[in-house]
Amino acid sequence: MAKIKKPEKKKTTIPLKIDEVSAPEYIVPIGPFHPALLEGEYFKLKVEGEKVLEADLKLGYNYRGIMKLAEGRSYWQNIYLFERVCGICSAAHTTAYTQTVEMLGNIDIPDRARYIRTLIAELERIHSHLLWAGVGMELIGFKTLFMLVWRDREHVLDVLEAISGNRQHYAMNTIGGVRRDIDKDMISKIEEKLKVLHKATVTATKAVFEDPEIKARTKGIGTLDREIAEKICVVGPVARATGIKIDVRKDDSYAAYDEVPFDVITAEDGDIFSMALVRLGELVESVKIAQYCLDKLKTTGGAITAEVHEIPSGEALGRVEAPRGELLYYLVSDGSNNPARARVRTPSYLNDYALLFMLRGQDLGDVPITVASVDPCMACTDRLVQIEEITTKTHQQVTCSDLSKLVRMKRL
Amino acid sequence: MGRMDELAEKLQKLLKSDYQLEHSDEFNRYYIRSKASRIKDITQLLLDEAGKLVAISANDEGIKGFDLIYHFDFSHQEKSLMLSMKIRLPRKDPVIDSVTEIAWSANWAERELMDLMGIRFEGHPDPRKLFLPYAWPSEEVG
Repeated sequence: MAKIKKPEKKKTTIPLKIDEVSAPEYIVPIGPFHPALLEGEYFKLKVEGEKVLEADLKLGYNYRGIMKLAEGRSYWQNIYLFERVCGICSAAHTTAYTQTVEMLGNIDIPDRARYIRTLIAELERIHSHLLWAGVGMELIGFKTLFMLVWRDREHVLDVLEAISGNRQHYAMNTIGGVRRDIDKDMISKIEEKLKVLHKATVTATKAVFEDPEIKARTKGIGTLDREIAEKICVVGPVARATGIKIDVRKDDSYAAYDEVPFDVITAEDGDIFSMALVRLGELVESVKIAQYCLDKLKTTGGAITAEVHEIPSGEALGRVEAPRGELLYYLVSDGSNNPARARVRTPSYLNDYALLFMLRGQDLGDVPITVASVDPCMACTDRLVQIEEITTKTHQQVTCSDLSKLVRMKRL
Repeated sequence: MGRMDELAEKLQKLLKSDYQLEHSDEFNRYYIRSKASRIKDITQLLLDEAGKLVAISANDEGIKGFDLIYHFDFSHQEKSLMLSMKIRLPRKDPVIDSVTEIAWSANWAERELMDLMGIRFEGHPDPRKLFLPYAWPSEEVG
């Protein structure tokens, strides 16, 4: 019998240089590109054991320079550009943009267009909040509710597709009104779907309220103090979850919101559970608003676009309550065909900053749901692509005129 | 007396000759011009009045320099009231005091403008790149 040679024992060396000083603290990098992240962002978490001590966030991995691009396009071309800032809240972006141009040009849009804009905005909010609820449920491991919520989300996407022909980029808004009308048959079809959605939202809210496991995973987790929330000016559902009662739909009414009756949903605790409650409560309100707009559309006739003359020089500040919060557009016109300056301040830009405060003191396992709780939208926040040749490892600098040449030649 | 009249009175008292109402529109938006040296005082005053610094924009005005616009939101006090403070900076050396220590929400806004417009915010506690890569080569403004 052949003897099996035992492998010689190698001298073990510690692979990482961990000494007493650096042992308690580690940096856990998540991103910029990571299988658990959907978009390019880089979280640096300083942890001790399982507790996060400090968090830092780096953005700009897919910066698109949309605000600069807008200066080189006409007011009409920009509608298509701003539609593509973000896929989830495309209607909010075009509403904010067209509304700001209308403020510049003193254009009054017809009533029918106002109701259609409000309807689309609310349907988009329903779809965005359901998307969020699904993602959140999946991250805490509640796959059943995730699938049920996303099944119901298909109903609202069907409605949007029937109205606009698209599930995401609806291309409904135009300067002076909307591009497509909604006829009587369509209204009755949407009403049927809204009934289904109402039932679905009530069921989802009940499930979240009553389930002890969701409470255990979200109550007291990722808490944002009201004081900090006020200091960093968080917006939208994140602000309302800490008890700050702000809503652009009420504070700075646009479209048909000044006449629509609805409640601003707030919660007190500022934790992930409160954020879920606020969003689910808003779903029920959104279905109500959508129904109100449909009722009004039955009785309001007339055109859907107003006549648009040239845009005089000046500046305007338009705001919209996007699903994630206040969206701010600031346009400067010099009287020419193109805006002289376009500034877009997206809601995620303010809410992502809140993450750095929310992640402090959390368990590492609660980081994914905490990050998802503010519904971060990197597409919104990043709006330069650095070209690096992988083979030579050299950075290539591209000038602005080269870049626009590449865009014209459709190479980029 | 509307909320804006109260604010205008307080701002005038603070700024005296540096206060200049540029224009206002029917949407309850007010645009006020002032000097760069007063930005800290203005921010402190407007935050004490429970305003919110929601965004900072910058306009490239060509040879005239840069216009910084600090958007303060008062719409939670009076419907759709927003106050924009305009500050002109020279093109050669655009420097202004950072207001991040007073208004935390200015942190990312100032870092963004440092990246994209080359404006220097003196005294910013964390002047790293936000959108540009950390290794981005610095270049002259002008």
